[in-house]
Amino acid sequence: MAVSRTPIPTFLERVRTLVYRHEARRVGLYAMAALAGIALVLPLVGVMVGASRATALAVLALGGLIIVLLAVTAVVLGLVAPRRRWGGDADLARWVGGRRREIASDLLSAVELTTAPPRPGAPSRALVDALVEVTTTRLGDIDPRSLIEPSELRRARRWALAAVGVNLAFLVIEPRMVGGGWRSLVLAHPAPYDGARLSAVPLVGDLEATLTFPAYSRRPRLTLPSSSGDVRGLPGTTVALRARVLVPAASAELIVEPIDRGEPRTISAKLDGDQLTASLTIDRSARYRFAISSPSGERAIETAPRAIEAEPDQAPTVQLMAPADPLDVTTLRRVELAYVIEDDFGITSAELVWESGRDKGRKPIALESTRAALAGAAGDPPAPRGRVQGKLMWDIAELQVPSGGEVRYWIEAKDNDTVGGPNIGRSRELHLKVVSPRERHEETLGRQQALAEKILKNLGGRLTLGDEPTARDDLARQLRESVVELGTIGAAFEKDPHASDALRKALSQMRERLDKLAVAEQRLMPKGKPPVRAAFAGLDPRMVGELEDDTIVLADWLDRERLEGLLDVSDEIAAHQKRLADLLAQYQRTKDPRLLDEIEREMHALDRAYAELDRHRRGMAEDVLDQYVHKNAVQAQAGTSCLEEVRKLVRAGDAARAQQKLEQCRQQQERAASSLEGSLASMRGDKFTDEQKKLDEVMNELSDVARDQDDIASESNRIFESYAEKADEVARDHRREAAKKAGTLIDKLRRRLRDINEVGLTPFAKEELDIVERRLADVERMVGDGDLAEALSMAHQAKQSLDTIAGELEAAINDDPKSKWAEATQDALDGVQRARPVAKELIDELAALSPKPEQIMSADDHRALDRLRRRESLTRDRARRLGDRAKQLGGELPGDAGTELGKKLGGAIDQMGNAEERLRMRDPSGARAATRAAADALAKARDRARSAARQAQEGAVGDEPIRIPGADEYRAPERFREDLLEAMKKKGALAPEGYDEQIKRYYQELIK
Amino acid sequence: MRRWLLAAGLVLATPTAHARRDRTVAGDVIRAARFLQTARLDDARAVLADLQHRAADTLEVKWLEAELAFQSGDYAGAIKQLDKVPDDAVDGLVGQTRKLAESTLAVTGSFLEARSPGGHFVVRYAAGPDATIAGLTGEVLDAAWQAIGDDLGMKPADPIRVELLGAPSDLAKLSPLTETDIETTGTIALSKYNKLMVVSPRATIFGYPWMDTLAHEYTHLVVSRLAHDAVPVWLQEGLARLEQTRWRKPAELQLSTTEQALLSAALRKGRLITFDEMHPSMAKLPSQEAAALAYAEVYTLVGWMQSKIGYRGIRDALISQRDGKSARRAVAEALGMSWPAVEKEWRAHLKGGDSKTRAGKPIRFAKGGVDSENVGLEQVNTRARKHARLGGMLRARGQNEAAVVEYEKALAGGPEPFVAGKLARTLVELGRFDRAIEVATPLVSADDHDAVAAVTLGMARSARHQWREAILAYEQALGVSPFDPTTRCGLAEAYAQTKDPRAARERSACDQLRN
Repeated sequence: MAVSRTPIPTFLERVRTLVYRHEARRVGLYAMAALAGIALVLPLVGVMVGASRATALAVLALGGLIIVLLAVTAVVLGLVAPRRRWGGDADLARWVGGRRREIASDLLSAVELTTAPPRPGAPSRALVDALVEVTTTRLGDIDPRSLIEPSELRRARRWALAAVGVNLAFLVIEPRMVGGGWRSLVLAHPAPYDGARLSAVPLVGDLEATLTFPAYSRRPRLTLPSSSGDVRGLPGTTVALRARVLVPAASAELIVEPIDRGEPRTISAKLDGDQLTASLTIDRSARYRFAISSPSGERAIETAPRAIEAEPDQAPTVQLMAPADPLDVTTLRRVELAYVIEDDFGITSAELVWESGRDKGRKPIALESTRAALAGAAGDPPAPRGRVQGKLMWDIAELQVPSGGEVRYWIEAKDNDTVGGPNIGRSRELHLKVVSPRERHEETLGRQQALAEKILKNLGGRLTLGDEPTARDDLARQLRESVVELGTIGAAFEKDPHASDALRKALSQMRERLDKLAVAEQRLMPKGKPPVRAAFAGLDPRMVGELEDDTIVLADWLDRERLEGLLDVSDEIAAHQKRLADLLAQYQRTKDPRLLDEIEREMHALDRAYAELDRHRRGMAEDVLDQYVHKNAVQAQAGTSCLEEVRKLVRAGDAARAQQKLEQCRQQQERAASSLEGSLASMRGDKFTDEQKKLDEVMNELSDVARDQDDIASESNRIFESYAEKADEVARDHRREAAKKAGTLIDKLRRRLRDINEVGLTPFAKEELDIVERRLADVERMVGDGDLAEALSMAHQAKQSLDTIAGELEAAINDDPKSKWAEATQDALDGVQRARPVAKELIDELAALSPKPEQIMSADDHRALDRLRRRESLTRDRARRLGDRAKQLGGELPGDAGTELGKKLGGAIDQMGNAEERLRMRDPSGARAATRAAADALAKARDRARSAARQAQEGAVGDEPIRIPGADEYRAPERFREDLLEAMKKKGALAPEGYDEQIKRYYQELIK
Repeated sequence: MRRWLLAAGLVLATPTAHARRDRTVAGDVIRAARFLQTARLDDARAVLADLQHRAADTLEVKWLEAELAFQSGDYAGAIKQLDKVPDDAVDGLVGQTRKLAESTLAVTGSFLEARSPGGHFVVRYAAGPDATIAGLTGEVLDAAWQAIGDDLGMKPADPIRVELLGAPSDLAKLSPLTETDIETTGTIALSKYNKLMVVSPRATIFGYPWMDTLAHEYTHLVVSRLAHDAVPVWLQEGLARLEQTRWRKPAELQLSTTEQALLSAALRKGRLITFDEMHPSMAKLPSQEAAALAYAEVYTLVGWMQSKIGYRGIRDALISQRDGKSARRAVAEALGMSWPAVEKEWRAHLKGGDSKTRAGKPIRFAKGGVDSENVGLEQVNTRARKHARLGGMLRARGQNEAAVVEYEKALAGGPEPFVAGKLARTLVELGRFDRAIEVATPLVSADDHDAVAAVTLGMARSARHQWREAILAYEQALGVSPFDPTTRCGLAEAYAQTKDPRAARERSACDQLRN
């Protein structure tokens, strides 16, 4: 077979072509990389160069030069140099030999010898041909393309691609910079201000700026004469400029340049002689200059710009205050919240916002009344700074949150910015947890029920226990578990206000007994061996007897607690009805439509309470309902129907009839509650006989004492009526003098009453304070009517109520001196103490004005008063003995009846002592008031004892909201701040020029 | 009564108010009112037809028409008659009638109707479980119609309406009674407005002797019609009490143990309530105990009268009262002696003490709550009560073996019918039938109103395939507690076993109550 052979020249020619192409490509790629590098660097340099055209041109020229050099280099290195280097066959053969060592010598020799001129000693032609022949053959094995190093081209390509890639990336990331850089290099910058001449000196003088602020800011128009031209105002402020042109002018304009970015805009100015006027509106911070065109057409512009400062409209700052954070609150209470909202210009609306899981709500806060009140009080328009503060009653019934649920809440306020849209300020977030002591108690009762079931099951198991050893093991284990559970339930009841001491004691004793038996049983159980039944012969009957007793005890307590729970719900219903009645009365008086929402909420709360009542009823044992609870005692359905009628009347707008209907509902509820109290007493009588018997004994005695006191009060009233009739005739002539003297004292007393810190008052004290105020109004009216005796009587009642309040507050402080309310209570007590002497003074004054009783009263009347005094003394002794007895019985009476009765009787006994004293003094008016007050106190003691017997918590369902401690004191510093701010403004206005800033800082420090 | 007198008085007092009315019309209005008052509807209807021609537009006539429609069972018609007539017309009687008609219509508007087999009664009832006693009601009342009609000589020709009400509150809506009155006095049925109103036994926990109650109320209706409502309450009650069992057995006196005790104590202490004291109303007596004693007295008096002069004599006494004689005189004349002699002889009869006794139990209305098996526990002696209660608690939780132990402990101290009844039922549930029969049999014999013991006995007898005895026990339970599926299903099976055709009726009731 013939071997194809390529002659050496042809081979070399092929290699040359390939080498030329390779080198051209390689250099071309490196040139491209270098070009891309230049393209990257040039715009950056252009950016640095900025507006300097000369530098830009220099850079551009340099760049151009580099590019040209690069191109030349590329041509030389890529095209010329290879040809020069490898144009000869010998050079190329040498290059090939560099890559193929094995043929290097032969190839070079073949090329050189073939072309070598003849010379002496040269090898023969044949030898050369042979060499050529052999070399040609060997070249047949070499592919010319394999001689080219591919990595060289790859490296060059990588460089080129990298350079181009960086360039493109930079272009994408910073197109503006690249574009700007190129622009600043390539394009000439326009002449500033269209080539206007820059003037280093001002072109205008006597500049006056008049600022017209946006209407919402309620700022007066502000004129700044001889101004520097710098202006500061809210966005939307119109600035009217007036100046004298200092150079000949044909036209004038303002050039407004934004500070950060954006194009300058031009505002034409009007020229009137040398007077220039122009107007601009502030929308953001900027600079402006005046540009003047002279009559010759030359345009000059000021070098130094003037500032326009856009003053930001701040969002309102909102402070929210609550009684505590976090706050535990029952579902039935209202919480007092206080807020202070401040804005630089004004507040349009505020809302209380809350969130709890999915429940979200908003409650608008009525700001108008606060603002109007402030304005009204000052007689001025509302404060321009926009500041409102006030209190808000938040009814927790509005929340759809179950007991244990947590709620976040805050206040959001909007300002009155009508230019940029309202700014919203938000207070810090506060938290509350909805809790219900009653529900917590019911949860523990649920555990008690589960325990009772376990014990009953254990009993059942033991009653039918056979010889199966594992059964005894199980029962023993379950019993031990029950003993532990008894301990945890006892602990849960420990701080439960709805649990009585007797219950705790019963559970504790039960635990002890069962524990002993469980231990004894454990000892009898042999380890690792089945127990022998006979071994338990002594223990089992005791164990069964104990479990039987415990089952009954637990069941009795559960029945009783559930019945008491029913009464607790009934109390809640009564409280809601009272609140609803108050709201309806208020609505009837004011017709304020906002009350309708509250009324609706209250009715909703009542619906829930009735549903709760029905749920409780259904949860009670059938036999308890049958035996003790009369049908009319739990009338959830009737209550709901009655309420439905009230609702219909309210929605029909007939508030008067709604009130009447509600009154019927309340009476129905009262009857039911009374019947339910009877049910409870009856059950206690059957199942807790000793407790009930003692309670009955005490309550019967209390009823007797109260009846006697009622008789004394009636008799005292009769004597007074007779006295008053005679006194009225005598006193008619003193009317004017009395009105004047009493009026002054009444005003003084009212001021003292207003100063009493309401936060520190207990619910009862607050009720009494209302009574004092009503009695004072009565005194005023009676004095006006000339009925001094009646006025004196009313004044006595007012004084007695004040005494009662003082006693109540002292008791509250003594009960819990570390209470969070203690300080406020002490404040309130101090306030009451300050009011008492004035009340005494009023009594003395009225007494002095009244004819003396001894002047009017007959000898029979005197004897009657003496008789009454003796009776009062006897009754007081009985009450005292009863109080002692109640205290002595203490824990033997159900619930807190003993403690509460002792406490309330103490107050009544004081009133009786007072009555006795008045009777001794033969003061018919004072005696009437004091005897009646004593009778009322006894009635209250009776009611309280009855509810305390079932652990009802006083005030737990009252309508008294949870108040912020010290909220009233909070006003003082606020007021002080207001005053300071006012003073600050005045001082600032009057301060010597240049001292404003110092004064401002001084006051700011003071405020801090 | 007051409203009728008021109406009559009002009509007399305003004769000249309308020019076109004359004294005759006024007199007829009074007559019509009196007829309506004394259960003489046919007479009232005739007078009213005449008045319609003469003074149709007067408010009084409209009201009388409405009242007649109401008493005839046309409640919607009564309301329509009073359309546009103000409530305060006829001295407020219009408002009262309208309110009563409206509430009656609201309760009974959707009622179904069933005619008694004899066609003498129309039983109206709510759809649902009451359907299972509608047929029985008709059967009992047809039997009463026959027996009481024979005794008193009055068999109403018109079908008498009977309304079975679902709850005491419904009875309160359909009558002047309040729910509290109903619960306090245990009033469960009423004969008024020319109809019988009966609260269904399903409203009570243990049922009540509803069949006898139907007959009792029907007696009141018959006596009212017979004597034109002139018979005083005490005699009415005595007669109704005597006649209430006549539909199922011959007349006999059977006092409850409480009544027996009350009578014995009163006789011993010489403190029987005199008939003068019973006048004008038993409700005016000072205490419930006094009222119970008075009822027991009149019951024994009528029973004694019946034994002395038979029903004929009683009928004569009633007719005499219709004709204007006082009850005392009429009774004395019927007995042929002076009233003091009547009292003396009756007391002597009482001291003889030959009447039967049975345990008396109050009716217990369902009030809801969690089933405790201990309703009625208070009737157990305090010594046994603890164990009885524990037994109930264990039973309610399915621990029947343990419950038996506690019940047996409770019974160790002496007989306790309540506990024995519970024990018997528990034993049946445990399959200890012989002991259950032993415990339940004396209870059923002692008190034919003890449904718990009766149904328990029925179950035990059925389990022993003693079908005849089982039927007797179940039927006794049916008379008290017809909504207990155990009773109805047990009876269905017992009837079927004995090929009694009533098996189908009971099977249907059983199926309905179980579903």
